Amino acid sequence: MDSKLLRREKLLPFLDRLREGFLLVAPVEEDALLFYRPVESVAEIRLNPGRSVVPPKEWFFPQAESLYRYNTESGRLVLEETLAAAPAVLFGIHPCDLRSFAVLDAVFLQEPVDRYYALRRERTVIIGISCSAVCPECFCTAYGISPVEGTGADIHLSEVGAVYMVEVLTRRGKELVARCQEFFEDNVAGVAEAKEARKETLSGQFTVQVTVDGLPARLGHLFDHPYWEELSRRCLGCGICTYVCPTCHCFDITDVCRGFEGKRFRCWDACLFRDYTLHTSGHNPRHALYQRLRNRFFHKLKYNHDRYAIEGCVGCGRCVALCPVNIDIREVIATVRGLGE
Amino acid sequence: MNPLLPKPATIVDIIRETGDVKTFRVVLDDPEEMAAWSHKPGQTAMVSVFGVGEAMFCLASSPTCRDWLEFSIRRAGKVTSALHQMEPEAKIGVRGPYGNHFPYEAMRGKNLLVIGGGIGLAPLRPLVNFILAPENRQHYGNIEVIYGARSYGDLCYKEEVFRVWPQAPGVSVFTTIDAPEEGWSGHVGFVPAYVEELKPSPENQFVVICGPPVMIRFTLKALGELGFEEKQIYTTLEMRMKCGIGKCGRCNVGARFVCRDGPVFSMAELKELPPEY
Amino acid sequence: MREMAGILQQEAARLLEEGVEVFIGYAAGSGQALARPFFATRPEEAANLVFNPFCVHNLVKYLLRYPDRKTAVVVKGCDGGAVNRLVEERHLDRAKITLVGIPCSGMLERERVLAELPPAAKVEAVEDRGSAYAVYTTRGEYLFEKKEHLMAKCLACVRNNPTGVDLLLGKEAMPVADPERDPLEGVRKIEALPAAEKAAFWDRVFGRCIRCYACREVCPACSCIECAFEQAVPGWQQGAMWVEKAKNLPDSYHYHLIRAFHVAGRCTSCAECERVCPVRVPLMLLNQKLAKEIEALFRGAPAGACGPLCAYSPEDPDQFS
Repeated sequence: MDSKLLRREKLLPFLDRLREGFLLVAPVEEDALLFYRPVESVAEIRLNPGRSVVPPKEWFFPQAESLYRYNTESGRLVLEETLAAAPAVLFGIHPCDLRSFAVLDAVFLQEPVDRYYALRRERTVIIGISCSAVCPECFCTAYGISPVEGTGADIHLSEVGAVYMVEVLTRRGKELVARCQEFFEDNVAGVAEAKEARKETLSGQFTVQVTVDGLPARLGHLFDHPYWEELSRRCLGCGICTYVCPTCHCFDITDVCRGFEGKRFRCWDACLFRDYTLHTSGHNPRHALYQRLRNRFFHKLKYNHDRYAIEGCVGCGRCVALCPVNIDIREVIATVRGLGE
Repeated sequence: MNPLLPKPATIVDIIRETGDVKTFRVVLDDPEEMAAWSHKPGQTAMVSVFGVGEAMFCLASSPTCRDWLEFSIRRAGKVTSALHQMEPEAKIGVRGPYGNHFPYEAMRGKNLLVIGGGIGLAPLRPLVNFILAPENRQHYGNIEVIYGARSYGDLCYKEEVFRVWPQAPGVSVFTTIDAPEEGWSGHVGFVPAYVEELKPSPENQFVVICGPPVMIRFTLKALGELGFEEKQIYTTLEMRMKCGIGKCGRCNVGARFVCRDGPVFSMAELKELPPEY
Repeated sequence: MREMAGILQQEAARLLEEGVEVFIGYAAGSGQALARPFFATRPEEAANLVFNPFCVHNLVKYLLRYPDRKTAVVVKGCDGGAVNRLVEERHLDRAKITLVGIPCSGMLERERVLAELPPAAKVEAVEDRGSAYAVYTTRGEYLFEKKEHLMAKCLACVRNNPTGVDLLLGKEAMPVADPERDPLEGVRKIEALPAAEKAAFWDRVFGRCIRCYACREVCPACSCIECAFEQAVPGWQQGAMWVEKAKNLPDSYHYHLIRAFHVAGRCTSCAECERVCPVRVPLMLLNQKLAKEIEALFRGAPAGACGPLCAYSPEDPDQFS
């Protein structure tokens, strides 16, 4: 694993150079909110970004995505898959979101491979960035994620004083750095230590210590516990937690048509919505909100682990910050640990 | 290979089974794909009506039938209504086969008890026809079919149920309808009660059962009283599905996806899953 | 505030002992300066109840989940009106509900408070000092001037003492509204924009809507058993939806504008829709604009209990004849 230095004033020029070959997707601020969006100019980029509202999963798994177009004129059928992904650089991804890509990979890249997701993953270079502060809702360390480690990125930046320490983590990252060598310098003594020291500082900032050991097994005994019904009393049944979660991946598929032409597309869906498991017959295995809420927590904290051997949650804290009625997954985890035997 | 892209196909024939059930005979447009198609009894496929939607149906034809794929579909919602309005030559999309299948290898050398209610016979029919195919028949024991529906008109596959199967070697078919009807001289009564009357033996037997949930519930009770064990009884689950390949998350029962890990489950397996189906 | 919590807990315990099956109020949240809706079903659970300037939620909609039970709910001045609407629309049986009104001295805008509190400071108590709230934390005392830190709706509030309630707890609250503020300032600013800028504004805010439907789920006026946006278009379109679940700008416009019209006249301006939105779509601009139009059109006309749009009179303004 290589490491280099990038002087702070060279970051934007480096990103600007990347725009010559890639679509640059970076954190931009709009009305005091952070989003990952393609940028026309590096001046739009929010350096040292906090946590985005919508997670960067949106880049690999868009809210709405066309699957294919069809035409049935004159009794013939023409099908055209709408598979397209421009080469892109996804810049400014925090370690929690970097881990989320591994969780989504487990779902989408498992046979049969989802071609839409796979193509975007193949064509995107990821530049991670270490956190400079811990939000009150963050708890990534519960899952073995460190706010200064770039696992999952091709290149990972950590701000240390007036420079960024650049860790080149993959072959693709190496190629990128080689292509833009004039921006980088060799690493110097002290920088790596400073980065590690930052890790110590940050670990003191987490407001709640969360332990997830043995959680999937404990949950297995709690399916019928009244806790889920109690928790669901204040739940609105909206899609906020699902849509801001970097690992939630449920989607709906619909067709639209006009005459002989049309297309099929997929879009985000939430297991909390009433019609999620509604059969055409009217039967709904999860007709009550508490059943749907329970299913979401079981999926996030147990089924994902059971199925893919990877934790479903990354501790980013978005759902904690944005749930309008303060359903706090950290509290759910602690309660479950207390209840399960 | 894009698993979400359907293969173009054409409806070549439509058979009306009941007032609201039709069997669609479908051929994939690409002859190589049609020749290469291979499924096992119990598997499913996604059928697309372009511009309307897609839905998962069990393959009602035996894998030994190479001329076409059959789907028996009840008119219920928008995709099925659109299908019911179609005529032969209409273009649809098919992708699959998906899911697991009946344990037909483990069933070798054993007898098979087939219990169906209404359109519930559809996923069981390919297993029966598979076993009855000349190349397979000798590997299996006797087949007993207990099949019921609300009325005579609601019985599917009448040709097979009343003529082809009873005439096949080692097959006995018992049919029943819920209420007496003019012209019906057969058994009258619900399927669970008929099972109690017929007293099938659990000895050396596999059971496959599919039908309305209430029928399954009471039939299982009857089978339990007759000494059947959960691990010898298999059923199929259905759930609302969208992707069919275990990615959209929708059809989960516990950590299993009905589209990939099902639709065939033994009663013993179902006991381990949360009752959300 | 501590005193109020004590009174509230006592009354709630009493009500639960006397037959109320579900008491809906607020309890402490899991973060700084945070409360959450709380449901007590046994008298001992009343000890969890609180009331402070972080109790921003409108609890009235939860009554719809218990239509046949005896319930009690804590309401601030801005929450109570929704109960009347739902009773008029036959969703609720007023006889089964005990409204517990609490005079409100203004709700703090959480973000502005968090911007000034150190992350490790735990809030221990809040005191109303008239023009400010004093927040006592484990890291010291912080003063929040109401003019700068209350929610926008509070600074225009003329109803902070609830009326029409069964129980009124505590002393009458002083007026909270800031007389120098124009409550319709935001609306007027948009009205004054040239068309292209108006379009750019709405493109931007609707463009970031992620269709989580939190605004609909939290709104007490959105009480349809089957929402229009869950229904298929009838007829030949084979089940197309009025608005796609997929995010696209035209459908986001449609969703918000149609929903604003559906609740117009029945909206009680609790502003919960705007509070819950994760991407800060300024929904109250739409609701306030429609309320302003309704007031201008139907001023003086006799209104039904569920608003001027639900009542008909031959004297209604009619621009077409």
